Amino acid sequence: MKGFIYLYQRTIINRVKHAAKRPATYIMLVFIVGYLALMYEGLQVMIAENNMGTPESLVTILSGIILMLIPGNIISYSKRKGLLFRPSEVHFVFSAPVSPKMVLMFTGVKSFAVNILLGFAVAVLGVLWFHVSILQAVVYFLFFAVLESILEASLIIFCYGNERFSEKFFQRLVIVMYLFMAIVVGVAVYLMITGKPSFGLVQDYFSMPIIQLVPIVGWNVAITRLVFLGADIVSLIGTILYIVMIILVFFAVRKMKCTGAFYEDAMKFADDYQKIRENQKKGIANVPWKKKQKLRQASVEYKGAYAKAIYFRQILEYKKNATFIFGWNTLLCFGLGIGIAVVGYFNDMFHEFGEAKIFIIPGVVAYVTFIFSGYATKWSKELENPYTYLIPDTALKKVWYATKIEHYRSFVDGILVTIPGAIVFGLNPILTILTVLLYICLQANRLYFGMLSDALIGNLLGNTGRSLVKVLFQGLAMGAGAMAAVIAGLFLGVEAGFFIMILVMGLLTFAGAAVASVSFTRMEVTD
Amino acid sequence: MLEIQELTKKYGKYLAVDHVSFVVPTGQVGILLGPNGAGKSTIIKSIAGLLRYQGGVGIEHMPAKSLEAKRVFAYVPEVPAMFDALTVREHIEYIRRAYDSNITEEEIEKILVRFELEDKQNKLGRELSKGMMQKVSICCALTIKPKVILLDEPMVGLDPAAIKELKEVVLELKNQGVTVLISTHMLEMVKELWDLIFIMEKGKIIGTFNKEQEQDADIEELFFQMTGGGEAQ
Repeated sequence: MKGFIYLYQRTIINRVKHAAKRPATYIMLVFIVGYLALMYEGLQVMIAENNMGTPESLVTILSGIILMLIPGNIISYSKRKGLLFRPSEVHFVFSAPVSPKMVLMFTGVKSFAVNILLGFAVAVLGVLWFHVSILQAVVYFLFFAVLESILEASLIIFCYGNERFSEKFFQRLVIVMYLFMAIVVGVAVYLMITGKPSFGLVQDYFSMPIIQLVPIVGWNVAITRLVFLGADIVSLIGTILYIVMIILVFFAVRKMKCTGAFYEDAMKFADDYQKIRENQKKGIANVPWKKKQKLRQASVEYKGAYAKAIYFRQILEYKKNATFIFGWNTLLCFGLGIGIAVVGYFNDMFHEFGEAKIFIIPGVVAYVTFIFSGYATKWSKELENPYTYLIPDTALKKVWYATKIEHYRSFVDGILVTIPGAIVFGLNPILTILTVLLYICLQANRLYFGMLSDALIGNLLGNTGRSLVKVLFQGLAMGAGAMAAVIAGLFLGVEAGFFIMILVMGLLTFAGAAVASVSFTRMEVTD
Repeated sequence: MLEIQELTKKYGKYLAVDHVSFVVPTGQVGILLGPNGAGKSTIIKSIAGLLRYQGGVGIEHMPAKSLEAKRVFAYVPEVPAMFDALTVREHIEYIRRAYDSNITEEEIEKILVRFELEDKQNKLGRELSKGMMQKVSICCALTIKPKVILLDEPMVGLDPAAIKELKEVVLELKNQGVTVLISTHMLEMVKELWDLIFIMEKGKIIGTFNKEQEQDADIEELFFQMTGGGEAQ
């Protein structure tokens, strides 16, 4: 225990000290404070405009959150993925002379801290926005900080530390929780479809006595109602059941035998989580459902030497993949294309946008490209491979051959994103091809400007700073393209503007690639 | 004393360790030898309590999973992992508190000097190289003042000076009555350390040798005699 306290104390102090020295921290703080202020203002206006500033509304919102959050927690703990373990904890904590239950509590502290913060936020916003009394806010905060934390701790020990119930039991528990969530959402959707969708309808739904009598989750709703709306027979029964349940669960898990069998799962999770963190640092999106792929036999004929070998090696690797160069991103692009078409069709965008309809698909695509960080592909791994730098060829050629497949992939993705919308909006074949070209250009733009900001900024501003610079470069290129499109559109017509936009962005992208090729000159740039 | 009884570990259908039993008596150095994938690390991780297994593990006549056993047990994993935001010295201090070790400041200083970490005490975990992490990991294990110590491939990543120092430390521990188990496939590195050798292949112990009985035997000869390889070398 002394060790854990010391560990937390030093970790927090060192992190704060380190963060205080980095300029990126202050930039980030400004963003966060600004974002929170905007959120506060926006939500306050929304609550006032919709006459939601009542304790009843607060209870409805909290009920919705509770009905999703608690089953969600049970699911993640049952899967043994709810707690974040690190390899350092596996090394230094798991083998320490501390009971495994204490190890769970040590790791769960982060969840309890979140509970306390949430409770505090609900209490403060309850007083400010929903006009609950200070006494009610304080009582609810105490409930959140104490009872919720006890429940969370008990759940953690029950799910992780349980060595009596089989794996199958927890698999079934997960299914039951998913079913419960599906029923809650299903009934809500049914009411919305059959009745007139309104907040009042949701309010009535969550006020149903049967909801408050659902074990654990419903009892939690009951206690919320009791605190903010006063006692009635149902909320009183639910509250008593909740408190009794917490006392019983607390003593049950205290008595439960736990020798640390969960360490094996936690160790595996720590390794997986470490990989996720490493990917995040590189700005690569993680796909939680992605399993280790089975590779098949393949061969390739190398038609060229030097930097071209990078391209043919990538082809060989992709040929071993069951889906070649395609993956979940291809499906997402198809989904996006269908989405644009459906929304466009039902909102009659064909007539509403007039000639400017040709910018709908590029607009959506540019937005999506802008907000998504990217996904792991073979090219980014080239920079980690020393042979990339040793191949006797120019850096520009290496950039080209390392990223050539990305452009083919963009071409296919571009077709999938464009075609459904092009049919709905009645774009002619030339404009459709131009839209696909623009998609390729946008993707190349993201790729090369990302590479460029990595090479220029390195670790100077940390990951956040690097991401911001990436977004800034991309934004500038897109802005320049859009401006060129507007100017050319005014003087030469919409279609010419569209073509000029691709031309400008293409030139900027090429310039970016040429400068970014510095990344392929020496490995040190990426360190 | 370290006792392993009928230790069996499966990963799904794959049998990684198959009914392994051995004993390393108090104050002796046991070497777990075997090619890659023989099951050495799985045994070490099972002893350290990181894996589920069938069978029994005893440390100083206590079940390995008991807190009493953990208090006298140290483990140096194959791949060290540091706390990002803790300095080298803070890692040592954490271990001192977590194990309630009676190690003195002077003794800590000595350990750090031996592994050339005295000038790197304020470096953060995330700033350390793989070799330095390994040194910190060894220093942390020594901070416990253990009665049983497990070292999983401890020489990997260490510089020659640290390897020499580690060998001396292992012999000193042995002289102090500490039970040592080293898992490795680097035969050359453990030549002068061993009292007992357990040769593993495909999850089983295929040979056990005692230095007292094998007086002048060469560790390489014993190993290749059992595994049937090495002719080409």
